[in-house]
Amino acid sequence: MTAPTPVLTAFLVCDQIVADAATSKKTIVGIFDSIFASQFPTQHAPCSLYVKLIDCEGDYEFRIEFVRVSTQELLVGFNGNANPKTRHEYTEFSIQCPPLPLPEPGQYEFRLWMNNKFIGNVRINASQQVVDRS
Amino acid sequence: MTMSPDIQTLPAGVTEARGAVPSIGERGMSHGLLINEAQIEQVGQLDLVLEPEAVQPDTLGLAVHHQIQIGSLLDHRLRMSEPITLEMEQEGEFHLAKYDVLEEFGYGTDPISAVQDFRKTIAELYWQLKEDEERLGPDLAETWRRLSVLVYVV
Repeated sequence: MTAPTPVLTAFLVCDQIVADAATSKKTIVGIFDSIFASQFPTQHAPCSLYVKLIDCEGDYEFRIEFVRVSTQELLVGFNGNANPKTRHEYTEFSIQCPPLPLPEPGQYEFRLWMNNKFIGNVRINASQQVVDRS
Repeated sequence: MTMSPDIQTLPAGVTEARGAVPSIGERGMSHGLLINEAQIEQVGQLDLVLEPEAVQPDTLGLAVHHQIQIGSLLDHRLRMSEPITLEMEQEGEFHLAKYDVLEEFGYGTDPISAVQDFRKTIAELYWQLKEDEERLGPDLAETWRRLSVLVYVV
């Protein structure tokens, strides 16, 4: 049977995701959609992705791309496999990303692909800003 | 007794890039473990291992797609019976995601925005044609016939 196309219900960028071992509850720490830096190019860490899906059952090849929107440059890509058991329950996962390269101010996005189908994206905006540490 | 929940609209989150390679505990902040490759945690039922292609700032090339396959719409009430392939085109500053079977397209200032616009447009078209189903002319009736095969309500 062909694996159904999952439906994305959450795709968040954050600092950290903590899963409680006893309850499986997740604490999503530091959700953000903007990054500021005093100079470019730069990198950003820590960064994690939280993904929640429904209608996800069978074998999937995952791909996540980190892309600079203005130029469509692929800056980081991840590949992986998953085989959730039932489509009627939510499936969620977290990814701890490597440092993200940010060559210029502007928009960047994470794109999620499963079995070569586009599932969804989430954008972050990087801007140059002098940090006042007083 | 009916209780009114306390709902607050929160400002969007902002973070600071911490330079090339932040160290653990830099400036007294609690960082996640710095890693040279992506790590995945199993949360829920997935057992997923992601292998990073690269973690260098150099570009890996362009993430340009001439065709993009989708299997869901931007409406959680709707499902698609089968995936469809969108033809990606650029006209001046705008990008188009076209699906000739329905003679519909989405557009945006970048390819993914065009795809998302298409996914939203088709969902809106579904509900609009469903509501007007009894009053459709021949062309829209044909569009509805094709759309109702492709899209269904969960």
